[in-house]
Amino acid sequence: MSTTAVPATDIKASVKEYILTKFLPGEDPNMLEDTTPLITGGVLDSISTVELVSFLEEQYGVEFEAHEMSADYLDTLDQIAATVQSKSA
Amino acid sequence: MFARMGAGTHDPPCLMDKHTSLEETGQPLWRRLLHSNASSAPSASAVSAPSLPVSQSAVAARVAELGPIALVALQLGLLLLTFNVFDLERGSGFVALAPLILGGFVIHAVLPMRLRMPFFLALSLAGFWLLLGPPALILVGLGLGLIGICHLPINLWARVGLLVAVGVALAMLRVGAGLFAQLTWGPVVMPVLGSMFMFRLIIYLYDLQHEKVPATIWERLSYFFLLPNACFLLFPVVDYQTFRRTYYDTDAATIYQKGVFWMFRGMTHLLLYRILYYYIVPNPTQVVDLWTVVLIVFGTYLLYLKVSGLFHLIIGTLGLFGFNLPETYHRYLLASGFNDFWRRSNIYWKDFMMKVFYYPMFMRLRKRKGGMVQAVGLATAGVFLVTWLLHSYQWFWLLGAFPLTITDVLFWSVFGGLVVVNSVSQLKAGKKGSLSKPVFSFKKALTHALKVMGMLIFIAALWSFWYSPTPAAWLGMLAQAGNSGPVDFALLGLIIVGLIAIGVGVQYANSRGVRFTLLDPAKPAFSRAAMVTSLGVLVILGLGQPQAQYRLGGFGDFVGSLQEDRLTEFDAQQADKGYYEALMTTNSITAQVGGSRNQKPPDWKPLAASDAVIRSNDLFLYRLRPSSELIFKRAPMTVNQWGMRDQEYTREKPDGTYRIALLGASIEMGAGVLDDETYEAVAEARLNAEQAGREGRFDRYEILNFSIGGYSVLQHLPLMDEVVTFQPDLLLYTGHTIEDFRMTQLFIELVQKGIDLPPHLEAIRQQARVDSTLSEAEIKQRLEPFEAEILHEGYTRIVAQAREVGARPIWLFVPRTEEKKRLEGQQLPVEELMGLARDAGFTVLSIGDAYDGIDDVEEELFLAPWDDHPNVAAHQLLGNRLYEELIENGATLGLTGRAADTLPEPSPLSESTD
Repeated sequence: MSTTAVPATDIKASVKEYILTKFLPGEDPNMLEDTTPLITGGVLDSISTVELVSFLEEQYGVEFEAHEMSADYLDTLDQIAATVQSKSA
Repeated sequence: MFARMGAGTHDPPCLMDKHTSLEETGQPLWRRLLHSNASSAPSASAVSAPSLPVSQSAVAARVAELGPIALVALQLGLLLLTFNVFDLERGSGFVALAPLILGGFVIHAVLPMRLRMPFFLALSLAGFWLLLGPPALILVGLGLGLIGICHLPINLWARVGLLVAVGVALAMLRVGAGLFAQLTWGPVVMPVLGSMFMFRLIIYLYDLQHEKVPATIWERLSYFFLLPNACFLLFPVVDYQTFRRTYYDTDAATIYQKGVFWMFRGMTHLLLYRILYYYIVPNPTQVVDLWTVVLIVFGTYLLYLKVSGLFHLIIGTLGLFGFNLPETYHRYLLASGFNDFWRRSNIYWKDFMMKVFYYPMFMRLRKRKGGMVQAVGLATAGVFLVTWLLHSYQWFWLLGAFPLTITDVLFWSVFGGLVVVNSVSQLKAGKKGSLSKPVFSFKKALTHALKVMGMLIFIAALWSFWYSPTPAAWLGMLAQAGNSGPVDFALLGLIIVGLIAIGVGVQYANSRGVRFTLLDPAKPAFSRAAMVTSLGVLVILGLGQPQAQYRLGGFGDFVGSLQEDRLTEFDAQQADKGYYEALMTTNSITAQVGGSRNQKPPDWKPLAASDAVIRSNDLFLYRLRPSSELIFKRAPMTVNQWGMRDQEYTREKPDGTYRIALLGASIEMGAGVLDDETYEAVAEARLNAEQAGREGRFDRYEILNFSIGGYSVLQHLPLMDEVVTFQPDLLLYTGHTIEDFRMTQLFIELVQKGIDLPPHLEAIRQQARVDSTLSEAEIKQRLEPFEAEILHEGYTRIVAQAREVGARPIWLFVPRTEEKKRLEGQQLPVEELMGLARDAGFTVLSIGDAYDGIDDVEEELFLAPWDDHPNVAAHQLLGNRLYEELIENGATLGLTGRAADTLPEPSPLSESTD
């Protein structure tokens, strides 16, 4: 899927659904907000981070580098959307 | 070059936004803190709270802003005082740094934001100067050079190559190889330099490639020159990005308070460590049944409190200067799986591995045929391989040794293998997390409690294996549990079931809103953290006062015994023989970070491991290398043609000479002092200067020093065959309080090496049913009933041999410097030893009062902070006292030319209590 002009809200919605299904099954969707810390909050560990990155790469046709698999880029839905958008710009 | 490094503004935008200083927020911090939710730290939004009313005077506002700083400073002052009162981390230099930390904190906190980082750097450099002296300049120069290489305008791999080349040169400097052997500052500077740069340089170079906002020169230099590094070598691997990102990322006062709270937590860990080390964890020779096995297995694991305590102290200290770094450990005793343990224990290390090795490896491997599962498995295995290698790499820089032991290999293989399996199965099964408060379910709670208990038992067992010198020693230790009966095992099972039940109960209570912690250590609220820290410190400080201890009776005595940093009796005895040096090459982290002993330079080897000896596969194990001049413990040592650490003597006794043969160990041989500074040389010099040639005296006095470090009666007895050929008039056999311990340890070594024993020792070996298949603890246990017999038999034979050549046999009690630092109430077995010596036919003398009047034994008598052998001053005291003792008994000893038949026995009481 091309990343051109994908709005941040769409990215966040898609990633949110992925995280809820994959890592937080049965969780109330309202608990996962755009600013909920995912890596520093313990939702994502190293394995789930690589799974998430694989999902993002496949979904949006972007490529991540090793140094981007960190809380600086992927800690919240906001950050994830910004990172994906910056790669597609 | 450094202009390029500081290309960014002094306060880059990304940090500037997060910087929150007292003068910038406008509102008094204490007011905002008091009105904030006590259960959570002030959030970033609190930073932009409304300004003060214009009517409030500037002075009043300033005073109000200083309130939290004063409160933190007060807690910090009391805390540092407690470190002093309990003698915590004095050996590392932390206590010496305390005034700098306290004063530096206050000044730093009131400075304008733009000056704080430069001030912190200056303070750190002052700390290095304070503890290292002028060599600190070399440290700074080398450090700047290493940082500079990272910024050279050449490609990355060229810079890496250059750093590796410089690293090899520094490694040679670290071990004092070749031309570097003469550089006296090497052993002082290199461990600190290694601690600062061995990992941080890797992270720095990595992050430099991806730096979004250029750092200031102050950030770059402060990242390496961190104040606590001046005293602590074992240091958490601080991440460069995290270091920058968390700098004043919330309210200043909250960070300061968290810092002092973490330092308090570190202190409690260090005190708990002392209790465990002094009173709970048995030494290997005490492991005889199930309960002592349980104590040593869990105790060894819990001794890791020393490391977690130091890491809390380090990160807390940095918090005082605005570095709001995350926690280094997260309740690792409660890990419920291998991956969970890996994430909770030494979190900084895990993050370092993930960032620099795991993710890059994964990204390269994932596109291959095996896909994600194989990539995760291989990357995880790679991380553990790297962890193992870097573990040894770390010890190389800190201690000068590169330990690669079989237990090390097995520990990392087992641990890594289990994490790989865990990771792959998690990848297949998926991670199931939750953001909400989980609903209590008995089944889930029980499963979790079982997992935690299982992990605790497994990790503790694995840890004790890691600490064991060999797998056989570990198995032998565990086998001791078989000496207990089924009732003991049933009782242990009940205790485990009870603990699991408590675990379930705690989870239930948590689900009902009950909390068992006073505050969240990761984000402690200001007021609650201040209360906990203040009260905690005041209680501990109060307990440290003699008046309070007097009133508290037995408990007061117990607390008092925790106020001194010392080795246990067992470790002190091990150190005496050089076993500590052996420990330093194993994985004994706690031993390696154990105060001043971790400052021991790499060339400070025990005699048996030095070039001074020739090893042999017989009773002697080793002998001094004849006709040699060498350096031992940094002092020249001459060995004469007969293998004595002494000047040359003829085998034939010259006419008119009174000859004394001295038989002893390292104290007598003299370790780390010059040839003419040993106590026998001092006494000999005085005899010749003050007695020789006088009327009724001999023309010359000779003391032939047959002493060899580490020897016991087992070696002294066969050595007597050599001694008697020198026709001594007097045999001075020196006895120390560890006579039986040393003898037993050497007996164990002889048995384990399968060395042929003389008939009388062989008979005892058979009677005791010991052989090389048994563990050290088992041999020790079986030999214990025979210790007095072995000593007595050895003494009797030595006396007989001396008398055969007309030499008067004297057993001389010589004190050890460390005896004044022992645990309260421990009796020295002097009288018992004297009794054995008398029964064997020795005449007993004592110079046990030689160190009377010395207040600070460590400072005044120790050869070095890490070595309690007598220094020059101590030898002088012993030598003078020996001279006096010889002269006092000169007539009866025949030393003044008049032989006597009787020699009055000294009072055992006066000897042994001196």
